[in-house]
Amino acid sequence: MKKFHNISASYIISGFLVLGFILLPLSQLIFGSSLKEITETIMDKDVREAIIRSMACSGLAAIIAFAIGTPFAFLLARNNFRGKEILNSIIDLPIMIPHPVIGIALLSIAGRNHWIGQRLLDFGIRLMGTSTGIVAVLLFVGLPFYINAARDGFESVPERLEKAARTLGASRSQTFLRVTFPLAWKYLLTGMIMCMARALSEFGAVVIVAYHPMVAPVLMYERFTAYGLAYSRPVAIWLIFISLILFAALRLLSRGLRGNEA
Amino acid sequence: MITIENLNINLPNFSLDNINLQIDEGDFFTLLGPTGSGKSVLLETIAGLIPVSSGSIKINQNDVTRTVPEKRGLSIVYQDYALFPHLSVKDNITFGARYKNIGPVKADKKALELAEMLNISHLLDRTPRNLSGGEKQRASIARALLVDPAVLLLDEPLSALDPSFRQEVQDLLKSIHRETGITFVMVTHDFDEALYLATNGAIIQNGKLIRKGLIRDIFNTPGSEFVANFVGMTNIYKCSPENGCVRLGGMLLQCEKQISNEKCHIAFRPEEIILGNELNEQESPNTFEAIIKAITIGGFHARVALDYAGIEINTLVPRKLILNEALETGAKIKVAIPPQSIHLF
Repeated sequence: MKKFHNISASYIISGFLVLGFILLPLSQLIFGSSLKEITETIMDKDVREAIIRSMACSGLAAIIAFAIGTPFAFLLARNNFRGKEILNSIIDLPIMIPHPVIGIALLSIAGRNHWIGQRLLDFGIRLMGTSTGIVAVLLFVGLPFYINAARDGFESVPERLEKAARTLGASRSQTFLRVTFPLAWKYLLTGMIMCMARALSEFGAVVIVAYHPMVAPVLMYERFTAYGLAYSRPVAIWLIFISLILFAALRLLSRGLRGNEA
Repeated sequence: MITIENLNINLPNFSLDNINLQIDEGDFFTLLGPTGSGKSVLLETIAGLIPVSSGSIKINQNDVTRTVPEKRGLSIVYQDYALFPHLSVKDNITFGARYKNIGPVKADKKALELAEMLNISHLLDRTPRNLSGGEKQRASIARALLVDPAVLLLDEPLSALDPSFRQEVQDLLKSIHRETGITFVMVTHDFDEALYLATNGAIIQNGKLIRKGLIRDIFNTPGSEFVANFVGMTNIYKCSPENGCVRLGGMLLQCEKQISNEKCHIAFRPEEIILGNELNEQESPNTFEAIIKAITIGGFHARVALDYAGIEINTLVPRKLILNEALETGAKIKVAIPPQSIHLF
């Protein structure tokens, strides 16, 4: 308690307000359902499938974000060029625009009336009402979180380390793999966790593109509108519980690897 | 060895203009200039880390202007060491081995030899974060030497070091250069370092190469106000020739060199000015009386600022002279500027 003596009352009030605002509704959600309701919910096949689908689609979106976003994040971190700020703003666009708009926008280019949609259909790729569509939406909303974290990570690696490696004989790609990536990976992992977390919570865009097959947030919405709060709450508890375990494990893994590195 | 012809670099906020330079094999060459003058840009351009806008760079007669850094046969040592923080000191030193076809056994043997030479054998298993500045710089030099570079590029290798390590690393660089015979190109803004380490050098100002040659010649005959200032000649004045002498205020100063009839600058070093109440015009030409404006005592030396008819003259004298001559602010003192110490340009 001695530590708190020097902390101003305004900090403490602010802390209580913030934590209270986050924890009160969540604790009400968790303690508002009985153990029996929670157990019965997880025995429901639809619930299990929706949660697994949410996890799988979000995880896949994070992996795709890593694959396609890493080189672009590196470009943004290492180069100054005209229009860079505009590019950075474009990357942040999915955070700002209303989520149903994202769903509508994706459908409008992936439909039969657009040449991109026609090409995708030629290859057998359909977004409307498919898991592919869900992954596309989740990637769209999660990508800014990955790119921003990865760019910060690459910026945190002094360019001189890369320059020194180049003069020691390493090519551009060898330098990336032996110097840049090992020093920036924890930012990339954090970016993937953020991307996945954001994707996991997405509802507004998913419901436009793919009501079915159902992901957990859509299932919760359906149970809420059809049967009321008591039926949607246990699904939410399971989603929170599984997410918490998953993200805690990833954080611990990240910390463990960092410890080995030191 | 290194030939730079008509080199131009255009960066967003900086440019290097028409650089022409020849660095001989085995030379210890310094690129000198104040902060922001472009010397590090030139060094990184030689390394291939900054693209050339026009002109050419040749190393051993081979045009490397468009060659990638890893194929140039150079290595670089930075002021902030640029050691890889995620690797041990040994792994740092052997980093380049695999790209230069040096097998692991040979690389380890070489790393040990270099570590012994640089006195860091006991640090090989440590990570860079636990090393002192001097140890980091030794590890960085070992890493650069392991790949057998034709040229070792040094970007202000001493400026981040504590004074206690600076002399040590300075001596080390000198002995490595002597023992290996590798061409060294060092960037520095410290003329003392250049004078101690290098044979030849060039001075860069605002992206232009304004002087090149033997370091000692640059030191002795600066040739311009900027260079004179840069090499530590704090006394620089505009003056006019008169009867074979130069007029500085109310005084005619004799010079050793022939004076043209044009207006000129004179400069003299603070440490070459003689102070003493016993001085006389017969034995010491250019003797005059000045008033002491300020005395700043350092370690073994003292800076004495003088005023001669409104002209400020800075001198550097042994500390004991202050006591022996009982010098104090406001007192008068006789001053002699030896004719051979006066540089004209």
